[in-house]
Amino acid sequence: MESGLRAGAVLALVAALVRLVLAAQSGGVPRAHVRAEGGLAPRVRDSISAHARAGERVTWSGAVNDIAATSEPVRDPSARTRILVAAAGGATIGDSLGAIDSLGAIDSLRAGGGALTTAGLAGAVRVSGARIESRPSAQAAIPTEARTVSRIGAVPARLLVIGRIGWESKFTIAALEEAGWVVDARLALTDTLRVTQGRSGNLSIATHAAVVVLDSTAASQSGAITRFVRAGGGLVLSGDGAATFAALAPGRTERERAGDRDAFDRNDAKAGLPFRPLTAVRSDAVLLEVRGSLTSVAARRVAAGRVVQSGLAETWRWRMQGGTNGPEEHRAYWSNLVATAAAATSVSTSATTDLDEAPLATLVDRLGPPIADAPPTVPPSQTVPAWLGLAALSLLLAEWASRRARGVA
Amino acid sequence: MADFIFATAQYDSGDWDSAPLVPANIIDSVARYTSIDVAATGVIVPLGSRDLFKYPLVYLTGHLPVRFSESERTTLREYCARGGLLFVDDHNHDVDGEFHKSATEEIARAVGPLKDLPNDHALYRSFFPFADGPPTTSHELNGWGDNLVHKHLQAVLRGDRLAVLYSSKDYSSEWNYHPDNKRYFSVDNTKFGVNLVVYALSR
Repeated sequence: MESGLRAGAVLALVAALVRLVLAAQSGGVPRAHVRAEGGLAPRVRDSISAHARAGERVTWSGAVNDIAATSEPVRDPSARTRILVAAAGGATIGDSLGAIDSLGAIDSLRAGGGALTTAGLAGAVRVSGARIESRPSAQAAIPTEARTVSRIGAVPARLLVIGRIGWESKFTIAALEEAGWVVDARLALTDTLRVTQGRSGNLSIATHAAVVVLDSTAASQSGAITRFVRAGGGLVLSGDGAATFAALAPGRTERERAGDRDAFDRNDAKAGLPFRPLTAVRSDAVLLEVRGSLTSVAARRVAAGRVVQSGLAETWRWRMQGGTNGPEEHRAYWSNLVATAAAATSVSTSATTDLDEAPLATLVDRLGPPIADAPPTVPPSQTVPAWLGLAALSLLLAEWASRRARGVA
Repeated sequence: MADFIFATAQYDSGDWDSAPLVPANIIDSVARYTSIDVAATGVIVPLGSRDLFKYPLVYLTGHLPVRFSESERTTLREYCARGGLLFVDDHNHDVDGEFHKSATEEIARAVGPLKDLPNDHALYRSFFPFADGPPTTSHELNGWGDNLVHKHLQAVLRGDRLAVLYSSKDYSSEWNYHPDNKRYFSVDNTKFGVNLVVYALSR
């Protein structure tokens, strides 16, 4: 009998051991599980992910919106911020003072994402995803919030416009001044005479954000402009100005093609403008705009500066002959060209804590994908049942008692 | 297409074509003194038509009472808002005349009230220097019209830009001769016209 009791105890211990081995092979027993309805605060998330990186098994579940937001300063004097949002289920945008009062912009984000340019932001930008219907057993879903803040760019307020006197230079200057720039201008009137406006001093990235070259009349200043760009200044090339700056330009311009004159009647003035397609675009250039299969705007970096080249000509017609919004569209076109090239110094901001530009993506990166909806329970098959231990102990005690009863040591 | 085309406004009322030689004379001066690519002949553009927006500087004159149609008024308002410049000259040189009274009323209704333009305005130094403001015309000095020498031009401004420039000095008479006859003048009296074109093209 004693042999039988001993064998039974051994069997019970072996069974317990097998269960432990099986549990170890299946990944071990979970040590932490996080319910992350709506996401986790960055500090909490980082704390938990530290445990995971230390080898502890951490899982998470919950409904978190797949939203992302980032923001950047618009490089113009308006001190505006461009907010870019990806939000499949829609989102609302606010700052530390509350929702940004721009229903149109918010509506546009319902399609899955978009951009909003605004001024006067207070603190971090907060983008809230729509509520997600969670599991029936879960508490009411909490919208995920992405938080971003743009670095403050110090942009010099002045531009220099160089070109031939004419409607194009006049209305380009007007558009840029309306956008808030202080414009210095050097406009060729004859071979020797220039109409000047504003300062006539040297070009410097301390005073000027960019130079706008409308035609070949800037040739005499190409050396100073090239040095300006290499030092970090911006250069916008339009018309036949690119030929003068071939070493800097993103591409070459072909001869001018007529625009679609009927486009003005269709309220599509931009398509009605004459156009010089960009060809031989450099491999380091970025295409910013195409018309059909032809490139119309491209940009590239040159040393510390940026160069933008546009093939559109006679853009003043957009302002004068365009549709109801022609002047605004013309102004925005030139503002965007200059903002793409303008020099700016990036200044760090103190409001960088507690930011989370892509809550779901970061959570998955740190803790892996979420597990199934049901809260995880420890599977019975992966534990050592108490009865197995008790059985082994009882059998050993019985065997010991039997041996003592027989007087065997 | 030339960079600059001289355009004369045609309006329904009055006599819009009372100074037919002015365009050729100003075109001649612009070509003579500057490198601006100017069209050899001017155009006539109806004030109420969308074609007006092709010409950011338009000249308007006449002797008779002016009454803009609603279409002309609306088009002119939009034209100036977009950056166009309307140059109006009173061919009567008479502040008590019908053209002046009616034209200034119409301008005020369509664009805004006229105010005196300071004589140190950039217009007076945009090409030739006119230290004393607008040049005086022989028609002011010889006692015709209102028998006044007008010290200022008048203007409606959009920001710091001219939207309407109004003259009571009768440049329409002063400049209304064939360009070949400039050789008989000791001083070219159309120089201020060049200033106007250069200013319009640069500011």
